[in-house]
Amino acid sequence: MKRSIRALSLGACALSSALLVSTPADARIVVNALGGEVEIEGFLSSEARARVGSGEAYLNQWIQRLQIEPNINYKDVGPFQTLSFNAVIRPEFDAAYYYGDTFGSRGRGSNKPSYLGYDFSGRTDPVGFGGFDFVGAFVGQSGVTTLNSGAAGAVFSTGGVGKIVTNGLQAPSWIDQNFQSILSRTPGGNKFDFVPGKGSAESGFPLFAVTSQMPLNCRGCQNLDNDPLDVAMNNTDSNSNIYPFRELYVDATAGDWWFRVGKQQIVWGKTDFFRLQDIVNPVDFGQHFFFDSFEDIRIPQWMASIQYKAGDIGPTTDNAIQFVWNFDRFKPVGLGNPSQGWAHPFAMQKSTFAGFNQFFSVEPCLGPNYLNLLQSDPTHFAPSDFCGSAGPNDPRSPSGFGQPVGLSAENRPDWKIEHTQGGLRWEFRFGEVHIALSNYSGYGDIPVFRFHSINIPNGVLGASAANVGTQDNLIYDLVCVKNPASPQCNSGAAALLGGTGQIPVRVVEPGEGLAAAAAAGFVPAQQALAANDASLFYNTGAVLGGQVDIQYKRRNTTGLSFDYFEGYTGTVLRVESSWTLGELVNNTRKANWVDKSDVMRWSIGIDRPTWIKWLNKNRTFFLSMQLFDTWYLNHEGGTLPGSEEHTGYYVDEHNFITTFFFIANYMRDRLTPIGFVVWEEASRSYVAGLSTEWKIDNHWSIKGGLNTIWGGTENFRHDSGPFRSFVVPGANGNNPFQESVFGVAHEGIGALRGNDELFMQMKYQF
Amino acid sequence: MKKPMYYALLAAFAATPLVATAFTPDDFMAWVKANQEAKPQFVDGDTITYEKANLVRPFLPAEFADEVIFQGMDMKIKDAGDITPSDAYKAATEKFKGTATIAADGALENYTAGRPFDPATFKPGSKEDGWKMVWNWNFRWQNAGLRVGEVHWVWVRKGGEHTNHEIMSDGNGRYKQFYQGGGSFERVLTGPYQRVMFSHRAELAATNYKVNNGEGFAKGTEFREYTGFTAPFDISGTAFLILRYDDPRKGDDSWAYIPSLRRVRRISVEVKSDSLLGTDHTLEDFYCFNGRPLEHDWEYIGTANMLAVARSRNTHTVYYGPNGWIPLDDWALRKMDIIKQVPKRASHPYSQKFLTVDRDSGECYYANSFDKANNLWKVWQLTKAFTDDPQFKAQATDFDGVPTPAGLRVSSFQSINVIDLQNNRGTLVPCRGIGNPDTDLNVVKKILDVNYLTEGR
Repeated sequence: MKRSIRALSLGACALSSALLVSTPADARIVVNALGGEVEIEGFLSSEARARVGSGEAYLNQWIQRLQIEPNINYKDVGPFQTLSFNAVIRPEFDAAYYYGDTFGSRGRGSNKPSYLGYDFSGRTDPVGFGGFDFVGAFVGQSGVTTLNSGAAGAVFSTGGVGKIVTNGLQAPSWIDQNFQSILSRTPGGNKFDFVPGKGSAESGFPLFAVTSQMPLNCRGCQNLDNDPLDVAMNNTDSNSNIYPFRELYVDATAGDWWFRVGKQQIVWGKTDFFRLQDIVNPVDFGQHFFFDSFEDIRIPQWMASIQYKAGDIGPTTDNAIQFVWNFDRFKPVGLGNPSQGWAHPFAMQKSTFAGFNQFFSVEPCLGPNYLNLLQSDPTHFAPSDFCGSAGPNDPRSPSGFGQPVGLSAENRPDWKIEHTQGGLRWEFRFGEVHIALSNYSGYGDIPVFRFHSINIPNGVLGASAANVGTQDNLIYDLVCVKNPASPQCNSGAAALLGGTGQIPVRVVEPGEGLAAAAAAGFVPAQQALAANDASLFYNTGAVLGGQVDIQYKRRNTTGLSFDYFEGYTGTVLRVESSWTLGELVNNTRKANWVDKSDVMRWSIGIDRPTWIKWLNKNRTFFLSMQLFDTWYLNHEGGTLPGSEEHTGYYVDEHNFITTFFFIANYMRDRLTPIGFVVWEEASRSYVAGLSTEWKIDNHWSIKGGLNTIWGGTENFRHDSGPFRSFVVPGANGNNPFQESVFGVAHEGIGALRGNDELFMQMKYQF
Repeated sequence: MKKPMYYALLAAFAATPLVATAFTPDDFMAWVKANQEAKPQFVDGDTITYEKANLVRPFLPAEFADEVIFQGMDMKIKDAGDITPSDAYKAATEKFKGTATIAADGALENYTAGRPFDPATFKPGSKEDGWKMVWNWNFRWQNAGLRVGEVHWVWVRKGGEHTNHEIMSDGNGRYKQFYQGGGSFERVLTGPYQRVMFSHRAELAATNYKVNNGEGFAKGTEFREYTGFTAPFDISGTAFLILRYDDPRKGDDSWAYIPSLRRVRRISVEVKSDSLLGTDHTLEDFYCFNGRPLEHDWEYIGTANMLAVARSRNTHTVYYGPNGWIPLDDWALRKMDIIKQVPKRASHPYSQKFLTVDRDSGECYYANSFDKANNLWKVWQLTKAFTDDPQFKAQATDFDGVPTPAGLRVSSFQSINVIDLQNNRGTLVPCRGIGNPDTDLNVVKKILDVNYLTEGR
């Protein structure tokens, strides 16, 4: 059925294209039908976006989009003066993505990394690729050369994703076709480069991310492993609700009442680019960052809206009170499928940690390249030790080391009546000031990672180990586990790790684990408890990873905004603010990384249509400037003494962003240049865009331009908590630095700097 | 050698468009003077063709005459008859005669309803009478205000033709009859319009000349004006709302609904003097002048006898001519009062503008504007229809029109057409489904409340 819908969508898209191009059409189709007035309008567009700038240039997206907006209008139906049924239908298809292998760019079938990534190998991600083999590099084991080639001769039989190749279950090309290495920046700003036998000159914790849509073990994770056709059609988890119907609602007015029920967008607030009061609908930033109009990337929700125009109340006029009930299942912001051209770095990291769970949490097994052990050592090895021996659904993998790590689930609230969201807005004029007050009770739509378990070696917990969590083992080499007397188990890296092939660990709730380690006399844990800073414990590397899930929490956001026209200067002043109490945030000083903070967001915007007669005598330039701040009132964090590594919140207490925006119009508004610059103070990063649209006539238009991102290259280091033990220390004795996991947050909008683009759009509207 | 060069220069000069010959305000004033001395050589019922065009030239604004006069012109001279306002307006004028005054800053004070001042007393060159004239203009007879079911904004480029433009086949060709002649059409915007007057309403003596006694939605309000757009798709849903306060010293509040933002945005007063979505009109140019009088200086220029389409014989404006921007209609000789508008804001695109206002109906038929270098920039021509004429009745039955009560005697608004002489282009704004209906507060509140804007697309 789903396939049929897709095929129909594609067919309708193609048919409509042919019809529109071959026949003249009215500017807007209006006919009397179905007992009312039927209007149909929309557009067909084709937009190509080429990734340019540093590195290889390639066709990143080529999106064919058909948008049809039909509505049927009735007058005087029962108690309603007007009644209309409305839809926005938008099938689309990203040809560059779907035919990534043909176009030689990125997407389905491509074997090339994204804007954020590099080829995945032991050099760019020794831990993710070679697992514990990277330890061998420091003891001079020759086997670590496998980090580069993926060939046989590994130090250990389990560990990184490369073990699936070294065990003989996949060909080396499988690595290229499915993975990339991301976030491999080092303190010097260079790409992380682990040289076998020498280690790395600089420390780091690069990660692998998937570039394909392989199924990953992450329950409920949004947009993670969507089918390639769905990704190409923007039918991802963020947008799949009755796709291709973006909106479908009924509108009615009765006296001073206005009702709208259905899948829709509700927009509050007065700020461009940012969402302070505009929080009713989540936004899908994975489609094209924030370069598209929010109207195009908001995720419409099933909602009921009732507005009452109350007229005058006391000294106020033009009062309107709107009640909104969002009865859709909660959806978070969209960060994109990790293989999408504009996937946010956090979407890629989501695939990393889901990949950890997929490849590392499972129990290990041996692959075909170890089959000789059945003959050479039948005493210790049995057919059941080999992958697939438990049947076609054998969950084991040579990459697994048998303890829970990575991302296990995205805990999006189920649909229940008590999980529905809602709010109220009161808008009015007081004198010449137009004011809006709002309150919205809903879930914070930014994902928050929570460690629900960490893995503490029994040795750290001492005698108290038996009393906390559950016993497990980190199996770094299954051969040694089966036969510790094997020759390779008592020398080199294996000897460094104990030679048994496994490290006993307790899988424990983070807070409980920290307390237990402190109770066992582990001094850094005691210091961490005393300072209420779990990073002091984690940064010792005493914890062998852990497992996270994504959390969302209901919170209440109260907003106040107003606008005012200042006559002397001819400017419009827009002020918007919101206060959110108890917003869920990540704080790496907490044992489970989760904290709550009150958050105030505010913005001041100034708009002024301005005559610049020497540039255009006939038309003003619309100039707009905004200052925006996010203020975490309970902020905690910063760099540790003597370190450049951040701990605590992954954002600063204040995050100031300034925007400048202009629209010009020439040739009677048929030629419209638009430009903007965004500056993020904390990350010292910039985004700028310049485009020009030429409206050829009432139907055809061409638009082209560029978007560029730069900066954000400083101050990106953040601690990695329970994963510190997996951070590769630099050979020069540097502190362990890493860009992941939250370093990209410090890079802010600059985190997407590798994706500068040129774009061109052709559009036919009707 | 010298002579050929001389003739070449002369030929080039003669062929140069009006703008390059620098038609200035002084030229316009000279035409006014000449007009006042001219005697009509035509009579009611005459049809003026190109060959007889010199008969009408003195009675057409000099800057506009060359547009009206062309090979194939068909100008029917027909007296407009009595197009004076309603009895209610006349009664209010009489009742409050002599009470209105002009403050030092030009603000109108002590005004209740009707025509504030008697134009027969105005003196050419008087600044005070300029203020009086503009307030007369501001409070001309409109009943509740104009409502238009469908406005077309047609972007015309001089020369060429438009027979293949989609507007000629839109709606099964229903518009083809209106757009005769030449001129190449570019874009056509479509949308509704409505203005509602809330105070100084001559016919509302029972409620203190105000809607709802000046309470609630009508409080402190002179008018509210809604301008919407439904096509083409890229501007569909865009709408502007202007609130003019009854206090003449208080600046307007203006909002725009921007569909791509799905938000109502407060807009600056600068927008009112800016091109409206690329047309040659500004929001302030509506009707001839739709701005706040106090944002400009005024001077009464004098009277002129001018031919104008004051009482259209058509239900809807029919265009013809080489550029398709001249109304094919009856032209009546009307006595006009002329005032000069000088914007106070230095950033305003016009240096000055002249408005010509019918002495009887109070309606404007022509205007022109000059750029900052005092070169002629734009000329406006407006076509009026009398609400009590039989051909007007059809307005209520098509193009989303609503009935206008009988006996209102409003010179209603059929079209406003502007020619940008510097850029060889124009914008036709034919209004269909027009009317000046009575105010049903419950109905107009739905359209003119700022919150209504969000109920759009």
